[in-house]
Amino acid sequence: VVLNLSEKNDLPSELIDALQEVGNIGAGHAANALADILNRRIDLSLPKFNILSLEDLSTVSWGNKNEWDPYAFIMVETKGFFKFVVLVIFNKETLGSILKLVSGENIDPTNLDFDELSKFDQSAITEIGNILALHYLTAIGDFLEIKFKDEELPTQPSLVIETSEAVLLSLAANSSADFMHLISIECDIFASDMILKPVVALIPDNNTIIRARERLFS
Amino acid sequence: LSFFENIDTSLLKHVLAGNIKHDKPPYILQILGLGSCVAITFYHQKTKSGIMAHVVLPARDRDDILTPEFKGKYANTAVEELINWTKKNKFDLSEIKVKLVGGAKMFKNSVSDVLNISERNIESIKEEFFKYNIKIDKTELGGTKGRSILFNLENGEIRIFHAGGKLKAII
Repeated sequence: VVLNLSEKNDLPSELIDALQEVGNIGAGHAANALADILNRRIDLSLPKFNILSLEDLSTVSWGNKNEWDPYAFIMVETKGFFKFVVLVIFNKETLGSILKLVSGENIDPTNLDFDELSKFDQSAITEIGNILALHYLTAIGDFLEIKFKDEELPTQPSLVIETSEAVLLSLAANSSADFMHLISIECDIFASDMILKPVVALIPDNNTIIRARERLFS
Repeated sequence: LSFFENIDTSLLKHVLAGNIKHDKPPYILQILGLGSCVAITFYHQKTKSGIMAHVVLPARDRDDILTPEFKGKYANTAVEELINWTKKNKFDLSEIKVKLVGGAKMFKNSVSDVLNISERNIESIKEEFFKYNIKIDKTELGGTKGRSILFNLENGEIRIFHAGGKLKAII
């Protein structure tokens, strides 16, 4: 394992374009699913894309005011020929809004205690993250013209509530890749009087990048 | 006690992933978000000098050219650099207080944890310590939660926080 911390290894640009398309399709699917669950009209902003490599991880911010504030990460991963980790990331504010939407209670995100989240809160967050993640995976599948087999699809989503650096670096160190590329898709969701700002991060492993490129362009 | 209580934030120096940094008071060395990574600190009380490495991976397993500030990346290159610092300053190794913090298992039951990096990081560091006959003074290792740390160079104390800024321990 050689994590490259000091230089950037760029993704092929045609693959970036392809992944952007995946992001657009995924965001649309995910929004429809959310509208169903929350029983609300949902509008979307245009997705914003970023390609991050390891060196960016310590400076990345997805909307929390303090750098020691945690984010909620819902992680799913595929097995098999195409390996992706999909992370759905909620900042403090968005987490508060989601809990407000599912519980109907008025929750002030600034007073939200992440260590004291109830089992109900945790499973609501995990479920909503999981739905977003799975719709992005479906979009990836559609785009690559593959159908993930049942055994390749994620089983249990995991919820980790931590600072972004701790999660992303651990993820990178645990992958056997020389480089870790993280494609982040930020797409604001407007639901009633609330704005949710989830970030979806796609992390393909190195072989998957090569295989996806072959599939798409040869 | 919150994360920055009684601390002048302008004195904080970040030790980013793979970095190794040394300093003296009034500065405070900081790592935000240690997950499976491990922080090694060496502290020399008499001169109030301290150094901290932010170790990301176990021993280096292939050639990978590291600039001096990135010697903290692997367990073996980090320990070697810490020893160099001790020698360069003519400190007696027996006068150095050594602490280890981190190595949490962040993802339970995940295929992304097959390499079990957190435990291997800790083991690798301990093997290197054994080689150089380094005694560990205090540790705060393992578990499933990430940590953020402040290494106070005035007294060598390390404050450990969980995400959100709650104090977990002082060692």
